[in-house]
Amino acid sequence: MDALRRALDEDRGRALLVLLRLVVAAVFLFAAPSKLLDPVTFARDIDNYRMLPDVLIGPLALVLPVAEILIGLALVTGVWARGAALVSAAMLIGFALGMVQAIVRGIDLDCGCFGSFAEARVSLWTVGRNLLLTLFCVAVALGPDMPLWPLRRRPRAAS
Amino acid sequence: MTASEKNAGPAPSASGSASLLVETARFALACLAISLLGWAFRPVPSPVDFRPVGTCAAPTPEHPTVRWIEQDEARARLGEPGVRFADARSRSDYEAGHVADALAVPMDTGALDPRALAALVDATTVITYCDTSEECGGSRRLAGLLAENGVRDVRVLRGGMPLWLSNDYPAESGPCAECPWTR
Repeated sequence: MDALRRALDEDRGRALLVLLRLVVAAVFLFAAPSKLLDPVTFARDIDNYRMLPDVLIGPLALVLPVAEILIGLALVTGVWARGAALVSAAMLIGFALGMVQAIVRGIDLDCGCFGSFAEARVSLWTVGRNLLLTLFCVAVALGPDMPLWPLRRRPRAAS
Repeated sequence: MTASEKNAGPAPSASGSASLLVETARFALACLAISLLGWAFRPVPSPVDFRPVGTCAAPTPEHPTVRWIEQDEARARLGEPGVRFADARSRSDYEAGHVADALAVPMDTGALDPRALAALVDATTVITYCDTSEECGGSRRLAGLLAENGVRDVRVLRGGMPLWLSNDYPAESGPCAECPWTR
């Protein structure tokens, strides 16, 4: 684990982390607005998974888009980026579990990943996409705390 | 620690893991706090708003032929020959704003005026609605009475008038010219 962390702290590793951060941020910032503007449709998307009690669906439909926007902003700016990455990893795993149970139970549904903006049926592809993004988030969380720019580590002052 | 020193610091180790968890908790709390602020400005979607309707799901268990209708489908059928909207709210609520061309059939007393029934009984579909998005008790009662009295296809508008207005669907105000029973 320490070797991985050291590799991520090298210049190339940092450049890679910034790229991963921007990819995840772009996905979340693309996904959130339509959910935020139309929480009823998003709540319907969540309900279609048939895995949560009614009392949780409405609040989740309001919390998740806000979290997605904050995650996107945090990953772009670098403010609390590692914490945001860990939260997003947890969310993505939750989404993937929801998709897997839907596939196992034979529920054919729109994944609701991007609200009403872009529709996609739940499939192994959407599960795989979420798991890939989860890996990106874990890498960002394990990497160094750094702003979006500069990428290079500054040399330590001689002591 | 200055920003540059922080930038030059080593990758997180054991203490870094603890700070990562703290940062994660802070971020999660920030998400929750901002979401809670947002709740002050918009209602939490309720099941009656978001639950899709199966055609077998009767809004009134005692009248299984009465079905829900979603807002978008009802909007699409507005103006269709033979389709009538029936407003189950009070006369004053109707006059303040109602679905375009809807008849006023107030359920204040729980009874259906025979003249209102006569105006609706030949419709191919009657869509009833009221003013609460939670229960729609008035529109469900009206729908049941219409079904008992021979209206063939009766629907209850899910979300009622509040959702209709928030969808910015056609609405108008003023008294009902076709409804002498409300005068």
